[in-house]
Amino acid sequence: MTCKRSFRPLSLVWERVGMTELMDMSLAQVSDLLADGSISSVELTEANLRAIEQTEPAVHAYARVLADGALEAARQADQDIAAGKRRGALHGVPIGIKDNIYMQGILAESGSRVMKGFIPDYDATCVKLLKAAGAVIIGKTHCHEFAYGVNKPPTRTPWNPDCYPGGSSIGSGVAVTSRSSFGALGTDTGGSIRVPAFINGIVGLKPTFGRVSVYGVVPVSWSLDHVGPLTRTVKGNAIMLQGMAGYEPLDPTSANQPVPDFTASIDQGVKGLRIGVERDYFFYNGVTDDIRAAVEGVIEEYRAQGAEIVDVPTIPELEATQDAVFTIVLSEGSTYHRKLIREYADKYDPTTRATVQLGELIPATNYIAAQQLRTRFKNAMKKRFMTHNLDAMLWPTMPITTVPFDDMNVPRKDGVGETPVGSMCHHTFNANLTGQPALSVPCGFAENGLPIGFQLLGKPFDEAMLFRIAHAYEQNHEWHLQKPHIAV
Amino acid sequence: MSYGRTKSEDELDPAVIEALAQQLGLNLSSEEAAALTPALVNQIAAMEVITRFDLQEVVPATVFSVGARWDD
Repeated sequence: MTCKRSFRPLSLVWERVGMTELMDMSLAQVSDLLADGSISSVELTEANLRAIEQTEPAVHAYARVLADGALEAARQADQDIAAGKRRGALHGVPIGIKDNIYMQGILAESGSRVMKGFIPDYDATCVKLLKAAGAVIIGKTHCHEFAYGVNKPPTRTPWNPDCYPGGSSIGSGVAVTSRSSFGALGTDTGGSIRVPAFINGIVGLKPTFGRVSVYGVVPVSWSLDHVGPLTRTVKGNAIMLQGMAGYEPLDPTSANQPVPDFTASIDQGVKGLRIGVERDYFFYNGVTDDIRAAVEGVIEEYRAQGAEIVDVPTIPELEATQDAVFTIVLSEGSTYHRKLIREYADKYDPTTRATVQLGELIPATNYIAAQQLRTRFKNAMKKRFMTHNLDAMLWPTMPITTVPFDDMNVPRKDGVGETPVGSMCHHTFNANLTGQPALSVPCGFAENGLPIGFQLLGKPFDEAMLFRIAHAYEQNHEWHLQKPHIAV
Repeated sequence: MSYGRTKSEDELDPAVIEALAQQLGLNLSSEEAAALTPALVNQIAAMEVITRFDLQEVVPATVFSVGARWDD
């Protein structure tokens, strides 16, 4: 990795604050500095590269750092901005991209030996749009093998390196919390953006299905896959979504829907909004006391801010959604891997290989039944929203904090009757089934010192409402300013 | 195998799985078949949870779109 010198003298901001303070800033803050000329994109990119050098030995968030390309893009951004051609809030801001997302001419190995040496010859649509918005791609972040979430990559969360760091957008979550990235892209099939967001104390959005094209993204499960941003603040998340949302005719799952200004209503508060809370499933006995208390505190705060908290009756189909998701993921995923698993079985991690093989053995009728259950669940969720006139629903992003690696697949020690890995996606995959947007936001720390977050579920294509509600909470707290011991 | 929620005590002969896998063109060893068998049993048992609901007349969600905004 090389760090070339800036093409112009260091700015006043850079001289005054230094690398640590700069990398502590949110994506929205550095965007403002770039806009008013207080700092250059090259300076920002150089600071980001130094931050990566400093943190990588401990956290291993990046699969590859793209120093030369990033500095070249930053120089171009500086020239464009200086010439009055600023393209928007992302112009000149360095971001990371999960390694299962294609970039033209850049290795995309998806965390797998199967893909070793693979270089795509085109940009994923989300990357193409982000580049067009002027974003500087600083590196590719680690992910679980093919985003399945079952093997053990080298990435460690700086909140506790002995614990599971979240997956499968593992490097993106860790880079953002470690201050080696202002924002990063993740993918989410059952919670792979929101789980690392929760575990690393940051903001993660799974947009509406079809809002962000998955063209050029290695699929896990076509009908459940989403691409979305991870950032330290809600506003930064909205800015990133703005840069990557849009219709892609080459992608049959892409939605031809208008893309609104996601920050236009972010400051409007929650007064008069209706937030639904379902308690039988999302506040079941598997939710730990500290997480329950933290999220109840969020609910009470929204009530105090003028939102109407609406008790929503449970949806019976919820009890079957986890089994439905697993059936769909395994079946669709193994269909994608059908050729690869026969040619390169020995190159898969044994855990991923077994998962892929398992999917081929599931009867087709089981897959169809799971999609039938999905129809019922989607209809039931829509009915809840429409009947109760809800703007959003709210629940904990995860019922537990993260746990040591060795405890992931053994029964929970509190006797709940499930494993931590089962608990971790208990509250997230539901939104993948319905396709609704879901946003995870930090809301404190557990007794063990690990981050806690809550999740907002919205109506299709109403991400702006989730940003508005989340921003109203974030403005009253400093959870997003907390940083782990291992960080820049 | 970390995927799966439903647990079942049902038994299945791993040799059957190994033979089926071979028939499908998967190069599964006996050891792999034995390790995979409980996971497959659990996956099949998961259908009991899903089919508690009346799905007889339900069209599966095979159109991969959520459609328009709900309030349009």
